[in-house]
Amino acid sequence: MSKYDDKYGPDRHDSLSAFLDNEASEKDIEILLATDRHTLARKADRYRQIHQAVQPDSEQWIFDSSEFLSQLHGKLDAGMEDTNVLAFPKRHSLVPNHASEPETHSAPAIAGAPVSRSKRGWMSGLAVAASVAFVVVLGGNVLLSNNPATETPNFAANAPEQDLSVLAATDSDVRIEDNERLQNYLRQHAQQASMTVGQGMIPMAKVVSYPQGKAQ
Amino acid sequence: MIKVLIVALASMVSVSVWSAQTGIDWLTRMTGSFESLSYDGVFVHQEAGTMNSMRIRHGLIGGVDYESLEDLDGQRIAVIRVDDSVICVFPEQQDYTNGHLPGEPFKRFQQLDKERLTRAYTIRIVDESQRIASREAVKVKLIPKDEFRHGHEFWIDKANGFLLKHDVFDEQGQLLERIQFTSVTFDPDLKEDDFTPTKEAYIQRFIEVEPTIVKRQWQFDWLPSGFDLVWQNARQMNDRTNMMLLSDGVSTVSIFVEETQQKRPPTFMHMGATVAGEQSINVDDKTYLLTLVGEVPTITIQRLMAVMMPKQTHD
Repeated sequence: MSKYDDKYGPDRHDSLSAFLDNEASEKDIEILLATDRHTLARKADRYRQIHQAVQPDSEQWIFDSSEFLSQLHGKLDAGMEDTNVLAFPKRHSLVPNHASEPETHSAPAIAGAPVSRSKRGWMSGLAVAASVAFVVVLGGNVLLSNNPATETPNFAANAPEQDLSVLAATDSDVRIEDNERLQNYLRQHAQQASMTVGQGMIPMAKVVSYPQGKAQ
Repeated sequence: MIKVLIVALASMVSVSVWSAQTGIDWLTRMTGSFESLSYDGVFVHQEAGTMNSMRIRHGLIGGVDYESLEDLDGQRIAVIRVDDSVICVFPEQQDYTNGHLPGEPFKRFQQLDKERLTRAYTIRIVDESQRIASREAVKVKLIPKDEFRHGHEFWIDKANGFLLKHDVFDEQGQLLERIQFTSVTFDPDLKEDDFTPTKEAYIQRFIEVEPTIVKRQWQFDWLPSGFDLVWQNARQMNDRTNMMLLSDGVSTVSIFVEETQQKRPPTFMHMGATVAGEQSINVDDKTYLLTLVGEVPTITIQRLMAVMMPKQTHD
């Protein structure tokens, strides 16, 4: 078992168990989609064997990993039609402890045109997590607050582009890990920009403003 | 009478020399001003609906170069540079997270590359009678020559070349990001104490280390006009991540490459003028995660991600 499996294994088991019991939440499904496919297939097979041993007459519906994944994708898409999500989350949705909160945000105040959530079926949970992380890094202070006094109407709206990632509640540990990585990259970028564009420390402003990226 | 004529003549010459300055001259002057001037100012940073005020100070005290950047609205975090030594000051130890600042100082600003800049932008002085933070300013506009970079407007102090305001615009002319000084003095009475953290503060020191330079393993089949690699080689950030840097003289794009076990589809994120993109790619039996961050339009990040490939061995 890999280090990654050690770290995220229990969540996956719980999510897999929930899925097999037809009780999986959106988060469970996304965790499963983000799981290494071979690992998932192995665990699914183990579950199937246990399930068979306990209930020998029940239907066997997990045959192989590809079919299992297609079922996951199907469930994800089926439950998400006609639902809009924000290009950037509200602040509370970034808090790791709240990762399981349902995503039922209303029309965004800051973000632009909504994106159909069904489009994200192709996205891995980790890629989505990265987008969440970047928002934490860059928008941790004010962007995500609901205080209209801090908004500047003249600024361009953050209209999501076709490929702009949308949000999902994903494994909080994964989000934190991605968050730290992206924070580090952003800092490196800002520092190098400060040495390249001749504006002194000014390019560091956003990094000092949002240095921790920790959820609040 | 002769004296009056001489003074009048001198002023005419002075005015003509002054008006002969081009936008690129002002930008060159601006670039040098951050190192040559002593200053103490407060500026506002606005980005996508956020607004934050910062204090920036710079001075030469006893032959030692001091510089600081302090967050006035948020967590009271400051970055202080004393010559080549950088420290970061946090109000509480718990506010510190590992890897807050990289090890290099902010000191070594690069020279403005006029040729590269003029390939990428049309540069115009659009107004010579602006006023920012009670200072007379000249407004210089950088109009991008293609869709691969944002537009810029700089307000530069007429007296000393200091940058007083900077706006970044997207292709539709919408404002993405703004830096604007609200007050600044160029005769600050700065002392060492001004750059000394309080005893209660948590201090993280960063000692300069020479960056590990490694052979660049990647190349670009295409670059937007004016963009070029800042370093011919790559910088090694840690055991598994290398960094490359592209710039057109005003905008920069950082490229981070690391080996990964996870496949990731192309994902793009943006905030104000900054865009980040990431994608995993397979090379032989390895998977690499590419992460690009820059103050450029998304299309630039997309294109760069698409044209990155392993460097050929015969290069």
